[in-house]
Amino acid sequence: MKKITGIIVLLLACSLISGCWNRIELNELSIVSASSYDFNGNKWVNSYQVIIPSAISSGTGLAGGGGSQSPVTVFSSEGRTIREAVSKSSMETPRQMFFAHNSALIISEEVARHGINQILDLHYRNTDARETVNVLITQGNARSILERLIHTEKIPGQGIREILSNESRNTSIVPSVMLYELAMAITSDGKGAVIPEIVFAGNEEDGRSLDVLKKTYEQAKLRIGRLAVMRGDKFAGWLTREEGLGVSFIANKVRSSNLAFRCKPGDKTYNMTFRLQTSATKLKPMLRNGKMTMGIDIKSAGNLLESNCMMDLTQPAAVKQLEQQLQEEVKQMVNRSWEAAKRLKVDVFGFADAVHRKYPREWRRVKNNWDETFSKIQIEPHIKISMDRVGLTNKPFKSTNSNE
Amino acid sequence: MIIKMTKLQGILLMMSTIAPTAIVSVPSVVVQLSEQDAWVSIIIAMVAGGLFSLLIGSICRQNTQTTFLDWLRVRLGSKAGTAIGILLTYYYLISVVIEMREFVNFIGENVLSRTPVYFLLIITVAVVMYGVSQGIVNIARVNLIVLPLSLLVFIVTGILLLKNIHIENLLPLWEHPLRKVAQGSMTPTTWLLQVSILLLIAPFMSKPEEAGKVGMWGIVLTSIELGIIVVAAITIIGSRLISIMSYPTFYMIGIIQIGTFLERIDLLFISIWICMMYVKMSIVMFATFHCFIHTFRIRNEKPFLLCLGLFTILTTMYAWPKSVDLAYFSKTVLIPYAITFNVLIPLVIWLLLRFIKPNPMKAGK
Repeated sequence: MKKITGIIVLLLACSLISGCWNRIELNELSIVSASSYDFNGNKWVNSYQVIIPSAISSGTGLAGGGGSQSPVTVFSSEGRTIREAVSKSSMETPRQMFFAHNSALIISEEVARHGINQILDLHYRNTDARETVNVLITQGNARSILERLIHTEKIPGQGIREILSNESRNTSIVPSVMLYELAMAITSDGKGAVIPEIVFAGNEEDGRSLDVLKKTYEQAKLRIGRLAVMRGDKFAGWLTREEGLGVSFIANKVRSSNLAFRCKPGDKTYNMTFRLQTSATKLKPMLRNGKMTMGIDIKSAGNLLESNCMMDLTQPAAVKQLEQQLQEEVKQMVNRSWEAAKRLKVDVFGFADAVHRKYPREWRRVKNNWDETFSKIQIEPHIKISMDRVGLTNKPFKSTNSNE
Repeated sequence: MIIKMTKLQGILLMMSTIAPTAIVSVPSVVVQLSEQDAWVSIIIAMVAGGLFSLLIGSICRQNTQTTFLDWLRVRLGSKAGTAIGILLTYYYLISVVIEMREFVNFIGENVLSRTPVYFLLIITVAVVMYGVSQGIVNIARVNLIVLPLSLLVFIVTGILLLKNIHIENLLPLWEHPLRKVAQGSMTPTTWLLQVSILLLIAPFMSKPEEAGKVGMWGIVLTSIELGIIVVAAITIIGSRLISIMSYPTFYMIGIIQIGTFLERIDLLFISIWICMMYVKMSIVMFATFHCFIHTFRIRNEKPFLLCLGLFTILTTMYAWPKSVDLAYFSKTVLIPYAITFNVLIPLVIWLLLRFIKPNPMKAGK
């Protein structure tokens, strides 16, 4: 009898202690796949790209069936604070917002100029918003980015994340920045951070309707643009894509990339491509007579992808010459991005951290006007690129039909 | 036959007494004071804790027969024994209340945000009380499963985090004056001092004379675990960001993202941590109950177990209703409080034992 009572009590306890208070059924949730922040006067305008589950389930939606229903819907809410705006969203949606699957967070330039501390605080304070969301910036209205569909991906928010990860893995021009990485960069000694720009290319009205997916070409599309530079939590300026790759080189963020270069110093046209497969950068600050010099040691390796230059690549000297050309190319890139950072007076490379680590005493002296000190630094790039392989051919195809 | 615990069980029990709360609260406090030099603070704490465990060991060596409080009564007289018993009961009760509050706060903030606190408390206390009723040796045996499992999770997450490590975050070395670094070692030392619970547990070990060694190993291993977590947090998150966070340890596991299929595995770590917390609270609650029973020489224990559980629930509920109260308490009172009970009382006992020679006539009275 005692045993039976025990078992009954145990079973009852199970039904009580399984955490029913926090129970939310899946069909009560609005899963947010991307969100954006805009300003309207001094109010926050949050926009959400919410997944419509029935449209993305197999058989209907984009990939299968007729594709009659849009996979996502976008709506906005406004408030004096961010979470006030979020709570106002409950006036127009039957479901509770769920942010854990948010893949992309898009902020407008206006918000970035105002400062993003509040957004970061929100993500660190609450458990529902993840720190692994990708952060992007856009020049105009951030909401309009959420409204665009992407051809190959069902859910545009996830598509944006895939574009970024593909780009940073294969070209490294614009780094993919997650919210925690942004927070780390802002709290580093240099206080400089970068955020990739997302732009909508095409007619303002395009890309919103499912009709765009019925064509084989897209005039209107989302793409990664330039690189926004932040000084602390505030927007400081833009870097072009070319400058972006230089920044990636100096800040040791290059994973792999394709570099076009000229085979001889005097050539006018770019006729070769190099596939960079590994790259590592070391920053070596040097203090000489009270003047700061930054040694930038870049060591990379990779292989030749494309050539249209008469050269016998079985000769070590020829490969060496190509390596020198490449090094010259990267050096120019580094110098250009250095000039750009000096222009903006933002340390996006992590120079401050390098100085702090090597010269803690000197750092204490200069840290209060680092922006000033930063722009007076001399840089010394030392670039070593090794061309490990030249591909499956030794000579360019051109040599088979030339008369030389 | 009375089953006693082995040396290994003792060492693991010490780790479980200190580590679960320490790995959560230590990193952000230490890093606030000594930033990238935080690991030095942990080493200082380890040395201090190690020396202290020698003292505990030398007391434990003298008692090989009966429970600690009964032995004190015989050795130092009934009044002194009872006084020490009351103080220890009080200390362990407050400790268990603090831990329980920290635990339900964490669960409430991170996992079950809508479940009322009292419900979390009732379940926690029920589990802990069940553990206590089974005795310390059984707690030690359960711990033999939980702790190795937690170390496994620890190692796996460590491997997954390898690519996020920026080892250069530890530079420059020795940037902070020794004063700051020593100040940073205060909190970890306070946690490590909890090894004084060995006084009560040693009689349950098969070889009580080895208590000093057990304490030493417990402290060294826990400090290594703590040190690894602090270094990992600094190299992964950076010292400035750590100092604003309440739970940096869980945060750094939360950023693991491998492709799109493996992410947000901090929940795995939280689950195993919850098990560790149950073991820890059971150990400290056992100490409370043990002191209580032996101070007041209670024969029929079961009803008091229930009462103590109820008392703990109510104290935890009403002592710090807001998280800010507990944070303020931890910042101001906790360190002197823990040092008083963990260091001064053992020290006084040790001194008394030196000066009051055993008196065979007094024994048993």
